[in-house]
Parts: sequence; C-alpha cells; structure tokens
Amino acid sequence: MGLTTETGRIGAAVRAAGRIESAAHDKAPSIELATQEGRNKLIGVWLFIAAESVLFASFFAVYLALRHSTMSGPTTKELFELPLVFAATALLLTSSFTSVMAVLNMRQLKAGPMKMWLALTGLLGLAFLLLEIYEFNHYVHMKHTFVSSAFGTSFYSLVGFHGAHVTFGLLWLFALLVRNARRGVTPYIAPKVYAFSLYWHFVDLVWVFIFTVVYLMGKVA
Amino acid sequence: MYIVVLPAFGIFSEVIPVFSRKRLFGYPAMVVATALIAFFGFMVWVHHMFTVGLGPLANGIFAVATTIIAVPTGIKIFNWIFTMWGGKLRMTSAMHWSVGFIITFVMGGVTGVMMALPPADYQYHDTYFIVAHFHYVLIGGTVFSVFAGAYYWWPKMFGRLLNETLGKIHFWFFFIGFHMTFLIQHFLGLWGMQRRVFTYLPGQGFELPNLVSTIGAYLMAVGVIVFAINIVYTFVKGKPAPDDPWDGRTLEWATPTPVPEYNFARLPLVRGLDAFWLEKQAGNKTVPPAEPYTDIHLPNPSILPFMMSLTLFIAGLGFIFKEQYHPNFLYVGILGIVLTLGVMFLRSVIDDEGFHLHKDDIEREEAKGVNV
Amino acid sequence: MSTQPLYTPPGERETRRDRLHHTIAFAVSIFLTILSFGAIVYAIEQGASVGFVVAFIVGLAVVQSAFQAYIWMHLKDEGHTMPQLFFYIGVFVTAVTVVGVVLMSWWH
Repeated sequence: MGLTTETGRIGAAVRAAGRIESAAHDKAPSIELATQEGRNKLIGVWLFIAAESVLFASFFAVYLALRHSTMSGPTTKELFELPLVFAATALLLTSSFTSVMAVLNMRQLKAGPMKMWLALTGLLGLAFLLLEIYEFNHYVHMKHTFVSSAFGTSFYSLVGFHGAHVTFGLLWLFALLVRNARRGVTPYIAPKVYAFSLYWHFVDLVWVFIFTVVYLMGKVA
Repeated sequence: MYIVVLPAFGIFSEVIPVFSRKRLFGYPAMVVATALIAFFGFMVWVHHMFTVGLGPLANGIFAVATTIIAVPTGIKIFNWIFTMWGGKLRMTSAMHWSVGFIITFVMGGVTGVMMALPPADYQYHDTYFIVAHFHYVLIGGTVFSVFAGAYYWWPKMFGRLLNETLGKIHFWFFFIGFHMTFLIQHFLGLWGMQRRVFTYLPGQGFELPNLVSTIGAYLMAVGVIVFAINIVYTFVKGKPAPDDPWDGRTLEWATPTPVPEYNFARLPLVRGLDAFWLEKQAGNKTVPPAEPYTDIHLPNPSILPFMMSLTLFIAGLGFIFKEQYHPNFLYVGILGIVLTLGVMFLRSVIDDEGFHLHKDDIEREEAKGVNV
Repeated sequence: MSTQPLYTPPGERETRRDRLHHTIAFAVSIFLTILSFGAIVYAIEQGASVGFVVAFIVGLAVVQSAFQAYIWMHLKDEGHTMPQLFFYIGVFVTAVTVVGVVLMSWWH
C-alpha cells in the first residue's frame, strides 16, 4: 500500500519534471525530431558520422605521409588543375546549400519545394561526380593510377573514397525521391530527409579538407 | 583485440556478482577501466608489426600504450576476484566459465605484456608463442564469456534451463582440452616453431608437443559436442525456466519469461545499481513502475535486416573466394552488394508505421502475469 | 500527450531568419573558398612563405567546416548534446590520427 502511493508520487514528480523541462525549452521540436523513432534515427546518423570521420582521418593521415612517394611519376604540382577543382568545390558547396533549403521547406511542410531542392541537390552532386570521373580519367592517362605509386594509392583511396560517398549519397537521394514521389511531409518521412541532408553536409565537410589538403597544398608543397 | 574482449568483460561483470551474492566490487573503477581500455585500445595496433622497421619512436610509443593497457585490465581482474572474495559462491556452469576465464586470461595477459616490449618481441614474432598468447586471450576471454553468457541467459532467452550437469562436463572437457592445446604452444614457440606455416621439418622435437596439442583440440571438440547435445536435450526435455532462476540482481530478471515484446509495460523505477536486488532487499517481489500504463508503440516485425546481413555475407564470401578459388567469384561479390543495396532500398520504400499496443490490453496481460 | 499536435511548423518570421542565416553561411563559404584558392594562386607569387599560406588555408578550412557543422548540420541547436559529443570525439580522434601519423613519418 505504501509502495503504490510512493510510486504514484514519484511517477507524478517525474512527469511534472518533464513538463517543466519542455516548457523551459519553449520551442516545439523540429519535425524530424517530433517522434522517438526520428530522434533515435538521427542519433544513429551522428554516430555513423563520428565513425566516418575517423575513417577519413586515417586516409588523410596516410595521404599526408605518402604524398611525396611518387616513384618518379607525375607529382601533385604537375597533376592538379585548380580551375577544375574550384568548379567541383563550387558544385558541392552549392549542393550542400540546396539540401539545407530542402530541409527548411520540409520544416514548413512544403513537400513540392522540398522535392525540388532535393532534385537540384542531386543534379549538382551528379555534376560533381562527372567532373571527378573526368579528372580521374585524365590522371590515368598521365600514368597516375591506383597502383603506380604509394602516392597514387593514397590519393585514390582518399579522393576515390569520397567519390564513393558522393555516389552512395546520390543513390540514397534517388531512393528518397522515388519513395516520396507521391507522399507529403510527415513526421515519418522527415527524419529520412534530414538524415540524408546530414550525410550530404558531412560529405561536403570532408571535401573542404580534401580541396585544402590534397589540391591546394599539393600546388605549393 | 581489446574491443573484442570488452563485451566479454561485461558478461563476467554480470555473472560473477550474481553467483557470489555480492555487488560488483569497485563498480566506478570498473567503469573507468572499461573506458581506458576502449581508449588505449585504439593506440596499440603497431604491436602487431614491431619487427617491420617502423623505427624506435613508433615502436616505443606503441610499446608504452600496450603495456599501459595492462593496468586497467589488471584492475578489472582484481575487482572480479574481490567480488568473489568472501562471497557466497554457487559454482554453476556459468560460474565455472567465469572462474576459468580469470585463470586463463591472466596467463594470456602476462605473455601479452612480455611481447609488448619490442626488443623481446623480436624473439617471439611469428612463432607459436604468439599463437599461444592470442588463443589464451581470445578463447579464454571471448569464447569463455560466450559460454558463460549462454548458460546464464539461456532461460531468459529460450524459456528453458540448460542442463547443469552437461554444462559442467562441457566446461571440464573444454577447459582441460584448451590448456592441453595451447599451453604447450608457448614452449613450441620458444623452441623455434614458426606460425603461418602449415607444417614443420622432422627431427626438431616438435612432434610430441604437437600431438599433445592435437589431443587437446579433440577434447575441446568433445566439449562443444556436449554443449550441442545439451542444447538439443534442453529443447526436447529441458525444465521450463522460472522468471528468475539464478536469484538475479539486474532488471532483466524482473521481467516474466517469455519476455513480452515491449520488455517492461511501464518504465521500472530504478533506485540504484542492481535495481532488482535492491527491491528484493526491501522485501518487494518486483521492481515498482515509475509511470502509469500508456499505449506502447512498436515497429512491425521485419525480415529485411536479416536479409541485409545475409546479402552482405554473400558479398563477403564472393570477394574472399575471388582471391582463393576463382576470379568469377567477383560476380558473386558484386551480386551481394547489389542485393544489399536493393534490400536497403526496400527498407526505405516500404512504410513501417509500426503498431500500437493499447493500454487496456497491456494492463489485462500484465494482470495475468507475475505482477499480482 | 495525444491531445497535443505532434508538430507545428515554424512561423514565417523564423523561417525567413533561418533562410537568411543559411544564405549568409553559403556566401561566406564561397568567399572563404575563393580566398583559399586565391591565397595559393597569388600569395605565393607575391612572395608569401609557403608555411604561412598552408597554415592560412587550413585555418580557413576549419572555419568553413565549422560553418557546415554548426549552421547547416544544426549542431548549434538545442537538443544536440549527444551529436555534439559524437562530433567532438570524432574531431579529437581525427586530430590525434592525422597529427600522430604525420609526426611518426617525419621523425622516422
């Protein structure tokens, strides 16, 4: 008997504390965080991003250690062409911006503009990917391949792995657009779109370091 | 390696207090030790390649990190021993595996510190001494914990108690067989037998020790067969398990068996570590709930995650066999990847809104169960 | 719990403010990128030291990635304690990995 009253009291206290906390925040959560499933899913994406950053760190470290081991093949200075890299960077940065606009429209429950911005993100990503394929093809003709030197291996591991991430992101985006073609914005769909946008920003964030450390530093060091 | 053994450590930290009837000795130290092991575990990998010529600086740093990691591991070993010290021990099968683990893992840990020192490692590298060491830590740590966990949680997982007599037979065959197989390999390694070579030349005195090793391996196999028999026997004739067969301390033993899919209808009120034990001490039969009944939202059951791991398995198999057997296995690997992406696509496209259990139904179900 | 609507979209003012923030962040990003490329192309010609220029562009990259993380990935928003934790651990391990391997290969 004493137990049940005590339990009831504690339970009420817990609920009251929860109400106070949510009132203190004053703002309703964004649509992608409205459900428990959404919150869990996005925590998972963040954990994934933390793990991925460690993976990319290893590739960056290996690249920095091996970038001068060219086996008398072409050096970074001879290979890289900055206008191409700048174009690729601008494309990817813009696609990151368009994906954030998609999220803004999603939060306003505007399904049409959201899909439009997402499609634009996909097109920019595709353009980036095509530029990268052109670039790699060009390097292979200059006898800079995956197996030509330690520099080649570390370069293609790092930049190619990033390209693989862009490719996977495009497949992901395509799947999202297909599945949402006839659906509006709901708390069920929002975390899916938001997860993609987090991933896409992360891919862009990695590229910021790739163009700085690989391409720009390759031009001077 | 250390990341592999951390879950094993967790299992022993669950099993040992229950069968010692004492709380885990030095709980905060155990937590800090776990975090330190996880942290230093990232900075030890060069100890596999001290002899490749990375230079004294790299070797030195990683030697220090590798020896340092023995400190939190030692803390954990001592805490398990102190948990048992003065406890009311019940030597069940799970406890057999736990005690066997402490003995075996300490032996593996000692040789680990030996080979963490690069000058000494030049002697041990690529010999059977290494083979003996990592079997002591991997089998003595991880495999023993899997068996301990199996005997401990089997009643909660499958609703039946594994046979304890068969469990002890399993343990003794496996334990004796294990030490027969691998203890002598330390000596084989120090006598110069190389690893990664499938045979050795005659006349070096390696024959008899290897025979002992082989006999030990067969004894381990007998042990595992006994375990398999135990599983079959349990499913056919095993005793139905009560909700709390071991007089447990933690929350899982406060659930009914079989465990309902929502685990707890209401969040339990946790008053401290070993929450169920605290309630038992206070004279309660169950852990009191912390909230009223509400509707419970659950996802639908789905085969897709299983299909995802199956297709990834096909991919891995293809890529491995491509190197080992035939280049055409490459297509098996690619097929596996494509199927994985396909299953991921399916999982995205099919809406799974889940379902709700209504609070009236839950209340009725719970009233039928133990919580009366 | 069930009487409350699950989600109400933000007001027009808030949306306009968010849109402005993101657009500014985008403009700054592009500007920083141009600055980095410009530093490599022109500053070296003008006789700036390589070490300084490299430190400068790496600094710009850090600033730009902070923009990505805090504004576009909403790390600055409330309720992001766990993501922040993951992010900082990721950054820490990244830094240790890169600096560690570079030092090891230099001192070898």
